[in-house]
Amino acid sequence: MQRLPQLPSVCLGTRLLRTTTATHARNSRAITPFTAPPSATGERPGLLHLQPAPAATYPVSDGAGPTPAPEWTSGSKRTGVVALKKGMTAIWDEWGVLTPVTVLQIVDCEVIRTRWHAGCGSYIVELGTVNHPRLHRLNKAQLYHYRRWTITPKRKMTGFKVSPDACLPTGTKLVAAHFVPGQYVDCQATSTAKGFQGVMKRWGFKGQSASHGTSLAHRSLGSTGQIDPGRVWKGKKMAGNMGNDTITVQNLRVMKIDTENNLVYVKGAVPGTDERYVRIKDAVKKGWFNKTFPEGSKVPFPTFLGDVATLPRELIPTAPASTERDPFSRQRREREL
Amino acid sequence: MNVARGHGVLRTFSAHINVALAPSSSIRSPAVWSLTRQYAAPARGAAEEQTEDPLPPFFPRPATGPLPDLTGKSPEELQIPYDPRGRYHGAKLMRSIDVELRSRLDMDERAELFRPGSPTAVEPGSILLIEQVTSRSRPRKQVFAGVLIAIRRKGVMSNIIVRNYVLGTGVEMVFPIFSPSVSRIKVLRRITGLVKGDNMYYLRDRPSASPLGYSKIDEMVVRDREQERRTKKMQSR
Repeated sequence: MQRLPQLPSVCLGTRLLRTTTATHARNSRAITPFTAPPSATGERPGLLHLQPAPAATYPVSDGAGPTPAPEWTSGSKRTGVVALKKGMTAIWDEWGVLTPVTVLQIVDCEVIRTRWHAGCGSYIVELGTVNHPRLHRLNKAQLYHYRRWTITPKRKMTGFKVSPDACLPTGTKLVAAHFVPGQYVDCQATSTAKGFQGVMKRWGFKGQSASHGTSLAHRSLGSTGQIDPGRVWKGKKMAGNMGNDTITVQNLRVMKIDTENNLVYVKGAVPGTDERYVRIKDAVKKGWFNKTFPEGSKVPFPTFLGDVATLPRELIPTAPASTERDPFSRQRREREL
Repeated sequence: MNVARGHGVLRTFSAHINVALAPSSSIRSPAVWSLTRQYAAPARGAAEEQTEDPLPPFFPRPATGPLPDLTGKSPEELQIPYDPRGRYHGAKLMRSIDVELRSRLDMDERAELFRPGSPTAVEPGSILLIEQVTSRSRPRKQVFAGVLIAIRRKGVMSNIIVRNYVLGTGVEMVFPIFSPSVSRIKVLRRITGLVKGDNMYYLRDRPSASPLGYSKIDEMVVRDREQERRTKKMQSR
């Protein structure tokens, strides 16, 4: 077995009883602090907490001028919404294709505040969902936070990074009409917990043969590594607790919006069980190709601020464009074969 | 015949055919064979009737009013599958959505055909004819008829299983009742009292236990199509 190279005596640190002057000089040289070279403008680039925050636009008049009404651009990032997963059902879309949908309900979703977070270099819209039924269970920090911003205490508080033109004032109510039917969204939630599971279920290992002499190892891991390095790599796939992780499912299409009950019908499945929180926001990857929203749709920016009573009870996607192919039609190549 | 391309789920049980068919079986008799061929390939004159204008995109009936309040009603009453989690908090909303969706997707009151308490209810054993539309851009009408062997009540995904023999092979098709591709469900013969709301899966093993001979079903279908063509001609005049 090959021996590991000898580490220098410096690393033994406090165990050494005597340090030579040469060692001491070497140590002190290694601990000099880093200083960035000064820039021409005097700022220190790369250090976020020293960059000034870009000016934010709120859809509220500050008394000085007219109410700003920002327009959505492909570079803007809107806030998301937190909803409760209610269950799944099936609908038939405009082509007559049977589509499984998840029903997500937005309950008491309010903006607490918008703050500049220097660490990530963007504004964060802090919002809360589901009014808390038992105020005596909230701790002082939470209560005083809600009191300072005069918002009904909520059960769940989270934040979404937004661009400076999508900032929202305190107390803005977020509704299902924030989304456009036919748009794509990303849904993030804690996945269903499965407890301690073996490698076959957790990682999809194939196990070993059911007979032919296999003893007591039918579903086991097998080997855990090679002769070199002679240890197990970090992150080796083994049995353990499965599920209960934050999972993001991307590019789910919004099939229908119910403005009266604040429901968003999203195509496909969403992680987690019923009655759990789901963070919904505009799809990121579709945004790279400007396909998040359907063509020609009016995006409520920064959010839907009108009267929900003026909207019809259900919002459905518009009829498919003439360029879209009917999923039930057979392509010519198939027919020739 | 293009039976395999439908919106129902196709199942074939060719193994059963070899057991069931005797040399003098009614399906293979020349008279019935010619009838099935007629049924299979439409007449030359009917070729023009097949090309139809594309259908508009499908939207269910618009929502009128709020979601229904279903407090106090059991899942069996509402024809929703049994929920092992019991009456949890969100169940009320999902049931209301399901019931409302069914009433909006039901364009020609075909849910009444399959509701247990209704006077027009159809029982397994009856002979049904189902007209399907293959796609909305090129809607070609496709017909399948046979014995109704099961009604599965699962809310908006409720479906029926219809069994028949096509070109000597046993075929079962599963049709979602509320699908827009299922354009018409017609009862050719109503048979009651065979099974009380249960299924007839035993027909897979015992085709002789069928309420009506399968060749007779083909005859009924042919007669029905002729009648349809005549009424269409009369209306166009």
